[in-house]
Amino acid sequence: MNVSCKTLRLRGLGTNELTNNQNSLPVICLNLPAAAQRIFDAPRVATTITHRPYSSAGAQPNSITPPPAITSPAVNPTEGSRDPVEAQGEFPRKDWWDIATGVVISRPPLLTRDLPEFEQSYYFYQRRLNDRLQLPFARWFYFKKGTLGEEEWKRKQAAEERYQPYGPRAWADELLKGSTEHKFDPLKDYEHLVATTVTGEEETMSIMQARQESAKEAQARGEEMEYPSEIVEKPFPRTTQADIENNTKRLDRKLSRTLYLVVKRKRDKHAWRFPQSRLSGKWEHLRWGAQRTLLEAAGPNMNTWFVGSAPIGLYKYKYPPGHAQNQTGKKVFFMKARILAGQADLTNNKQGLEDFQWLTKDELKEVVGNKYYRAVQHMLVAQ
Amino acid sequence: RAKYQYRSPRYYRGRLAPNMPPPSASPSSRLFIPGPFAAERLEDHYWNTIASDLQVLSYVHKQNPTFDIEKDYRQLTALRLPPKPTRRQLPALRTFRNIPRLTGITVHSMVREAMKDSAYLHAAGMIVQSITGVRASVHKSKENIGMWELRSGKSISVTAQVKGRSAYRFLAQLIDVVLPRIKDWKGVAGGSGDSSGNITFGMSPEAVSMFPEIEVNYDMYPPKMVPGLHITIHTSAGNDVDAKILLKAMGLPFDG
Repeated sequence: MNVSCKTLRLRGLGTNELTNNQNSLPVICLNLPAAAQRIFDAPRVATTITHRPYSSAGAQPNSITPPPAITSPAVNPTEGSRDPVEAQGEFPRKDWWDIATGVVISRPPLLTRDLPEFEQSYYFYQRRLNDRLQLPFARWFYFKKGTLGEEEWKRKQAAEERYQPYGPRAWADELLKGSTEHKFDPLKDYEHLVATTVTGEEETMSIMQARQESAKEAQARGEEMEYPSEIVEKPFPRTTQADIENNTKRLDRKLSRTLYLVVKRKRDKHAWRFPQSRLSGKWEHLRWGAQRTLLEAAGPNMNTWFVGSAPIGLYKYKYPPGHAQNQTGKKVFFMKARILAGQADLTNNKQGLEDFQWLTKDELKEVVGNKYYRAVQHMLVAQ
Repeated sequence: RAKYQYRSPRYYRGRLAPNMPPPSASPSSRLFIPGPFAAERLEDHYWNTIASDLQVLSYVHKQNPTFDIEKDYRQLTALRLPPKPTRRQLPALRTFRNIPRLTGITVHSMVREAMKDSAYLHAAGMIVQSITGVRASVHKSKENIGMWELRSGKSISVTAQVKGRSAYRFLAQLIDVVLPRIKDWKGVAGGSGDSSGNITFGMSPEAVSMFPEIEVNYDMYPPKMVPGLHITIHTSAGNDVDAKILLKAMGLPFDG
């Protein structure tokens, strides 16, 4: 791919000399069309411009840094309270909104989804059709008569108890009422898997080895022999302790669903929300604001990744009359984040939060209000 | 046996003929192919997690410049520049409708020894078929090139195309099972890509034998007849970069 990186030289504050090392900032590699690239070419004509001996109040105007505001001195339009007389002169617009960032931090699903009954039945139907329509398995091509391989295959086939499409019971291809053959049962599948895949030789060898080892250990300790219970490592169940207790603070609950962090503020109504706070300072942008908000709200003990710099949603609401001097209301821009490790910690949080929960989309619906949910629902993944 | 087995008619003989072939979606049709047998992990992961992240990451506030066939073509030809647009083929806007996704995978194997002995091509076809689950199609050579001992009209290569859910399955198997087993595999070449969102990489005969379908009965194939292959991953991205970002999100490592 063609990537053109241009090194820019920006004139710094209060410098007399231009040196190659100090004042040149490598810009991020941008795949820009020729037209846009020309804008960045302009400041390179630096050697012909005179250097002022005094320190400038702000950066010299060029296309990168924004020009200083003409009307106001250093005023933060997002801060709320100000004298009405002074403020009217500074706020040229009739409607002015507070800008806030919210954080939608999620733990993506760690397991495959639980299939609904209809979907399981459909897949079973297609598998059974496939059994019926395929040509029969060419057994004698793969397993020669009288070999150990053939013995093993016959044992595994018997253990599998499979529907035989070309046998005497080929007519019995339908799912009987009350049968659970089409359902996915992880524990039953594990035993089934061991019986149908682990070969006899391996099984006996490993069992023998394990028994010999345990016998030696037991003799050394002077105890009775213990037999190992599992030949093949058993996978963990799909539901954890957190699921059984329904502990909404834990991140290993509902492993097949996406969990979102909501925090409780100290109020009666509209308490549960995504963490949010107003933008602070003149130059804070949405992504910085979101990172700061999450740090203040949920602590530093989380390994997070903020996805991109663009917001994923907006919640806009008007203040009740008399709430603020000039602001009509607030616009909350939500930024997307993922949690990779760690946990939220509300001790010493600066936003006065009481509690937090990790909830799925449908659980969230009950906890936040209707209006908020309507603004927020399309950002969230149902699964 | 006395039992009658119904078979649907092979040809459509007009709307007035009494015995009509059933619709192709019906199980009794000759054209019916049994549908999905299970939900696919990588496909669900793409829709739940990857797609929305990709949409956010490739957001543009203003429309990207697109190649206007009437205006730009005339300008370029007037300047005597080549008419092919050399800019990255970005969509005008990234929306939820044009997020890059996997559309299919092509497995291709060209076997030079098949010029002399067609058994090599049979083995290649069997291998491609067992890996993909799709019947392989044979292609003939077009050119006569003496230097490479190539004669036209000879069956020389096999391909198989996997689409839809099976493509996700095949890619997941590659990423999770086969590619980690290859010795000293650095990743897909960083410069791979045809500027249209298709990424290709090759696999040596040793790598091909790492497929579980081949490994289980490797001895049944004649010695030295297991070929190497090319795997082309087709995506709906219009350029290399987005295609690579998609595949990296799915777990395919790139080298450089």
